[in-house]
Order: sequence, then structure tokens, then C-alpha cells
Amino acid sequence: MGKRKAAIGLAHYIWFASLGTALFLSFIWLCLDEYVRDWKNHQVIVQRIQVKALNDRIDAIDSELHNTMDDLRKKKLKSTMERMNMVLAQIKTRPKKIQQLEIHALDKIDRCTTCHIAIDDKNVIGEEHPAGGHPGEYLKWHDIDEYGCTICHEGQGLSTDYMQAAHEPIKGFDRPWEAAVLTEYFIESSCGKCHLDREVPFAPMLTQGRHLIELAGCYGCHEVPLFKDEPKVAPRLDGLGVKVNMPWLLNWLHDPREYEDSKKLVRHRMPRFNISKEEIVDLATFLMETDEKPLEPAPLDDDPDAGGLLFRESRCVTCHTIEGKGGYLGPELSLITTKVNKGWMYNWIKNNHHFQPKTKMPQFNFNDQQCMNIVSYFWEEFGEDPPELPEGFEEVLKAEAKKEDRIARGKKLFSERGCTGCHDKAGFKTEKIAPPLEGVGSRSEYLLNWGEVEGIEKYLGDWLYVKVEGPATMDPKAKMPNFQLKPGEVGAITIALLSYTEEKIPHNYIVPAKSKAYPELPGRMNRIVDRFRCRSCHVIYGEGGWVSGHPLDSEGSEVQKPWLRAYFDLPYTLRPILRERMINLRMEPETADYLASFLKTVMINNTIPDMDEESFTEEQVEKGKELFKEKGCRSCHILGEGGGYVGPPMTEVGDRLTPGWIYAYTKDPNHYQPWAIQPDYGFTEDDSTAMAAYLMTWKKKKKEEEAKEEVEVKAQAGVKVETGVKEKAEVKEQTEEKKAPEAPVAPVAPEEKEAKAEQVSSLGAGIQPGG
Amino acid sequence: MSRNNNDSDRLPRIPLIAGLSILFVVCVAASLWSFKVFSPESIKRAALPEKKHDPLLGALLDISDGLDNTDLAGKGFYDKYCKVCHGETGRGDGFNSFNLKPRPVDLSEEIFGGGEILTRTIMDGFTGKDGIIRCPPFGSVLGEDRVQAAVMYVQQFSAPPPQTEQTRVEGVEEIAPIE
Repeated sequence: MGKRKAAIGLAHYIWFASLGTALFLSFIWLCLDEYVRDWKNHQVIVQRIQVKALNDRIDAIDSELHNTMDDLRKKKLKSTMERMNMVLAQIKTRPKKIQQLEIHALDKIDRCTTCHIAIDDKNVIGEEHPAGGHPGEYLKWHDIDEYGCTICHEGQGLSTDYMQAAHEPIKGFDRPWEAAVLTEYFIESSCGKCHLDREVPFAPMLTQGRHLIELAGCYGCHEVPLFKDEPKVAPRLDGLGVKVNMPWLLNWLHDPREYEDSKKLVRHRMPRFNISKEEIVDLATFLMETDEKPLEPAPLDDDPDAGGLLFRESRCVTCHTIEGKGGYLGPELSLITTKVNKGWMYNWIKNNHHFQPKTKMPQFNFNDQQCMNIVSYFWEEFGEDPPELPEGFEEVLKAEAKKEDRIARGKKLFSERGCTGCHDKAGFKTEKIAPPLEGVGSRSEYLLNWGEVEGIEKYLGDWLYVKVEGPATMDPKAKMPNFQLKPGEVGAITIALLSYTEEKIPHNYIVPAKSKAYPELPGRMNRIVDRFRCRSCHVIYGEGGWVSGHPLDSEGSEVQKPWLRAYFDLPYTLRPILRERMINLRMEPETADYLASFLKTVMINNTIPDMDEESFTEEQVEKGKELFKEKGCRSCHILGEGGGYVGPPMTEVGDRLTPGWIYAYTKDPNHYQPWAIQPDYGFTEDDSTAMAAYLMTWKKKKKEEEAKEEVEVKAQAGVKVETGVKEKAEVKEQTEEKKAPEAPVAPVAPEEKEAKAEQVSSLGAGIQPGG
Repeated sequence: MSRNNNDSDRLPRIPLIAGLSILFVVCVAASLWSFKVFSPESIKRAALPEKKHDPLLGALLDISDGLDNTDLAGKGFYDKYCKVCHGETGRGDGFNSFNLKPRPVDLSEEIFGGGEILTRTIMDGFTGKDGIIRCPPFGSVLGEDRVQAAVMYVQQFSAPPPQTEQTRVEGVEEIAPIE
């Protein structure tokens, strides 16, 4: 009995003592844990690093102070040093406490700066975090007290613990916070929350991603924020039966990339659909069925050589490619004979806007015979072989099936697969069959369906990546087609998609998209612009501009009318560095007259002064000449003898530009053309006037006179000139090597006016088709 | 005897209690430790599951060529304003350099490693001894921020090539397109 009591007593003792000790120890542990915090360590270490970096700089300034003799510099250095010493004292006496940023407008409370306490210190940029400073100038544009951290970087702002703040970008299901910290390139997706313009400064990947969304036409099937009311990216499909042949259509539907391997995405807007061979044949049968009225018969006789000449003269390669070389607006032409038939192509060149009212191709002014010549040129040059059927299609075509059934199935497929998102076809309504992309960046990661994808980090970014790269990877029955993009392109698109979050951003934080509220073009001008599709290349009143970035909005104030009128007759490349060239539209004289007068009277900019050439004095001309030399303008512009190939040649600028434009543009180039390379030399009014005065003396007439003088000088100076010529020839060779085959227009000797005209017109043939 | 026995029983009692209670506390602490509740940050980080292949990051690293955001922006400005003379890699062999005398400088030279000379040159231009501007000033066109970004990028030319993490880039093509 006594023994049992003692045993119970012992057990009680043990329990009591152990629990008491445990309680005591855990209390001590609690106190210690509360006291010993990572952020305190971090603050000490960061302080040490900051002090060291500052001391280094102070030492450097100190040594410079001893060495320099310049009083002004000394004074500046001293004040810098004083300031730095003050900062140093501040850092040294900084109390160790939790730092907190409260951004009420964004509903954010961030304690990130508790550890990242040196984030706004530029001396420690590049140190390992949390001691590092914020790279770039991002904090200058987004004041940390106004924006905080987590609006861009995400993560749990309230936490002062590494794990709890969700630093690890890679997430499992045990992570403490839904949105992990964004760093490196992922951060660009946050820029897109507030920057609603398609071009976001200092966010190249986001900008590229949005550009690719526009190119690929994602808005055909999805509702995409920022891409509302966009035109359809693909041509109308009415009357396909009279245009293309069945084997081509099967090839195209089977795998567009296999049919035409091109590096530019713009050609690969046609994705590869996730449908079987049987379905492809159904769809093709449906598309080939047409009730279009028969085509106009083509003239019988043709002249391929004349057609080829016309093809080169019209500079079709500005927009079309021939075997991969040329512009990127139109389709590849070396494959065109395998796609369309002769009759259709003849009708297309003659009246293309009838077939595709929204095409980017202008309506050329060819007569029937010329149209036929061009058509025959293609068949002569590229042959007539129809494309071979892709593998496995012969059996499907041979299989017995009623045509009506096929058409019915094809019709169903056409609307089911979202073809109407990109293509117009009579009798079909435009439907956005895919889910809207608004808020896709806030999608919960717990609800993502990964299908059978294994072995990759499972977070929203990768999910979107896999989805865009190959929709069938996760879901074999996915309706979304495969756009066959390169990994980099998919990455950029993913960044752009991640920027579409559900977060509510206050109005004053938003950077809105540039508005497009511009006046409409009036009557006849509108018809001309529509007929020649000027907006395919140029920006007119804020619209268009796929080739030339130069808007025509103030063209009337910039150039002289006679030059403009002559340019419509014989357009040439103003800037030798450019690959794209103004095409020869072969306008009727009265249209060109009208266009020139319209540009001169309507498309003007009132801030460009109207200057009189006669009012310039000799002194101004002399001063301008000095300035031109002194500022090194010749590095980029050709003027008379020699010069660079960056800007347009200035040799005949007196015939081309208005003095007012030269004045205004040299005075403030950034205001008139923010995209131009032209540097701002900070010209005064006098400087700019002098420049205008000098450049206006460079007219064709003057050039001829100088050429005469030069010939005389050459005759006198014999040997010297010869060596000069040799050197120049070398230079020319090198440049030509560099830019072949699109060799820039070399400065044309004045006496060879006709030769120049020839050279200019042969530019369109820079890329010789058919090798 | 029994008393002696009692004594021998009683003597180890206190160390026994102390030993057992410490064992208990240690067990509790160890179990907490093993669940990484109190462990320091470095141990928590080390205990994270091994990083798997990340195709998105791989693709982004691929197109950025190992440059960070600021440098990418700087590259944009460099390509637009400087490349035409100074060339793709800053060697002074751009398309327009063959028209210039003297040739544009080689930006991979060591003196351009420091940012100050570069910043000053891009902002205010470079004037030769004869008073003729060799490199035009881009200060007012680009603005300080863009110039700074371009400077950061140009400094890469003289710096040793950055070591990119090969493991990340390698995985880019692992997900095969659908067949």
C-alpha cells in the first residue's frame, strides 16, 4: 500500500516537474524567439554594409578633394561630403525597429523595408538582398511612400519572416500566401496593372507580349483587356472555292508551318488546329463550296517579262516576301502559284478590294493587260506545281462519304472551332468562343487543371506558358489551336497575360492608353486613302502605320509642294538605312495633284512657322554652315560630298523641306518626332534660323554648279583627288558588304540625274526573285 | 534493510525526475525542430523541395540573354541610338561607322567601365579637339533616366561576360510540341 502511494507520488512528481520545466523553458524560448528576430540581424548586417559603402565613397571623394585644383569642383565635393557625413550619421543612429509603409489608397501595408532597409540606398545596388538597393530608377518614378512594395512585388507585405512573406517564387500547396514575391522578369507583369498603354516604358517583355497578342489576334476568340474593338486579323473566306485549290487548303489546315516555314509570327497567325484528318477534309469541303459568281475572264495573251518589270517597278517586295526576303505585310509570293489559280489572281490584282474589303494592299492602277502580265510572270517564275497532299489524306479523300454530310459537319466545325473569331464569312456571326482573359493573372492556383503535365513547377505562370505553347499538352481535347510560337514569344505573352489581374487600382494610379480621338478624313481624301491603303504603311490621324513610323499629320508643313507632287510620280528612299520603300502607286496626275494640295492645305501643324526663304541673309547662311560642320551633322547626313547613312541625305534638302520645318525641327526635334534619332543640340532661335538658311541653299541647281566647280578643281589637283576617290571607294565597298543586298543609295553625282532615276526605280528589285 | 532500500530508492529520485523532465522537453523541442517550426531561415530554405524545371523562367532567360530588366531597357535605347555607329557589341563597327573619320570608339575599352564618362558623353556629346562634335548629345532627347539605363547596358561590354545559370536555360525545349 505504502509502496503504491510512493509510486503515485513519484509519478506526480515527474509529471509536475517535467511540465513545470517545459513551461518554464518554453516561456524562455518564447521570450528569446520574440527577441531574436531575423530582421534584427538583417538590420545590423545591412547597416554594416551601408556604412562600409558610404565610407568608401567618402574616402574616394576625400582623395579627389586633395588632388583637385579646381575651386568650383572643390566646393562641390565639400558639400557632397558634408551631405554624406550627415547620411552616415543617420544610418549609424538608426533605431532597430519594424519599418512599415501604409498605402491607404492601394489598401496595402508593407513591412518589407524592415529587412530591405537599404532599398533606396544607391550605394549598395548589387549587394545580396536584403542588403541590396533597388536597381534602376524605378523607385524614382514610383515613390516608395506612395506605392509601397507589394503592389508591384506581391507577397505578404505584413510579414517580417522570410518564409511568411512568400519570398520563394516557387510554390507548392503549403505556401503561406497566395501570391508569391515577383522578381526578375516576372515583375514586368505588375507594370501592366496600371500601365494600360500597349507600350510600357522600361518593361520590354510586357511590351513585346502585348505586341504579340495584337499580332497573333488572341482577341478573336478571347475578350482581351486593352484589345477591344480590334479588326479581325485574317481575310474573308467567302468564295474560297474560286480562289484556292483543295490540296493547298488541306495543307494549310493540316499544318501551316509545314507548308510555309517562316520566321515571322505575322505569317503564323494561322495556327494549327487540334482536329483530325477526317475533320480537316470536312472543313475544307465546306470552305471550297461556294456560290460566288464566276470570275471575270482574263486576257489570253501575256508577257511575263513585262510583268516582272512592272512587279519590280511597283516595289511589291516592300510588303511581300520572295523566298523569305522582303516586307512582312503581305503573303509570301514564291508559293502563291501553289495556292491560288491564275484567273483568281488576275481578278485580285484588278479589283482586290472587292474580294477583301479590309486588305492592306492598295488598289493599283494597272490595266487588264498589265494585270495579266504580272500574273503570268509569277507562273513563269515559280512554276505551276500544285502542292502535294500531306501524309494520310489520300485515304481520307478516297473514303466514301456524302458531300452533303461533309459540308454539314464542316459548317459545324467552322463555328465550333472559332474560325469566325479571325475570319469573316457570310452567314456567320462573330463569336468569342473562348473564356475572357480579364483577371487571368489572379486565377487561383488551386483550381488549375494540369492534366498530365508533370515535372515542372506548378504555378500560374507555368500553367499559362504550357497552355499557350501547346494547348493540347494539358487537355488533348482543347479547342484552342497551337500557334507554334517560339519559347521566347510564349514567355513574353505569358508575362502580358499575367498582367491582367483582378486587382482594383485607384484611378490616379492608372496610366491610361493613348486615346485615338482624331478627326475623320473628309470625302475625297478618305476615298483616296482607302483606295491606296495609305494607312497600311503610314500613320494618318493616329491610325495605321505598319511600315513607316512617320505620321503624315503635319506633312504639309514639312515639305514643299513641288517636291511632294514629284514624289508621288517617282517615290524614292529618303533614308538609305531603311529597308522599306515607298511603293510606286502609279496615280493618275489629277489624283496626285489633289493629294499634294490636300496635304499642303489640311495636314499642317500650326506650331511650325511659315518662313520666307528670301529673308535669309548671307551671315545666317555662313553661320549655318559653321554649325553644320561644328555639330558633326555629316556623321549621319550626306551633304554634297560624303556623310553618314543614318539620316536622310541633305544634298537636295532645299527642294524638299520647308524652311519653317527645318527651323522648328532643329530647335526642338523631340517635340516633333519623339521617335527620331535626331539629337537635340539646344539650338537657339538664331541657330535654327541659320540652319534653315544654310540648308535651304542646298538645291538641285546649286549642286550642279558645285559639280562644275569640282570638276575644275579635280582637273587642277590631279593626284590628290585620285587617292581621295580610292579611299571613298573602299568605304563604299565596306558599307555595301555590310548591307547587301539592300545597298544604300550612295550619294549620287549630280550630272547623273538620269542614272539616279534608274537606280531609284531598280531599288524595288533589290531582292531578285527566283535567285 | 528496508530503510536502506528506501534510501537507495530515494537517492536517485531527484536526478531521475530531472533527467526525465529534460528528456521530455528535449523530445518536444526536437519534434518541433523536426517540423521546422523554430529553425532559422537558412535551414527553412534548405528544407524547401528541390526546384523543378520552370519553362517560363527558362524562356524569359532565353530571350533576355541573361540581361536584367534595366539592361534590357538600356539595350533598347542603345540599339536605337548608338548601334548604328558603335555596332552590335560596341566595338565601333556599326553600319554607319565606315562613313566616319575618326571611327567611333570601341565601347568595350576599359575606360568606359566607369559610368561617369559614359553618362557625360551621352548627355552632352563628345567634341573633338577641332571643335567638331563627334558623338552627338542625346541628353535632352533621351532624358537622364534613359541615358542611365543605356550606360548600364554599355558597361556590360567592358565587364566580363555574366555567368548565366545554364541549368535554367537548358530546360527550355523539354516540353515538346504536340505531335
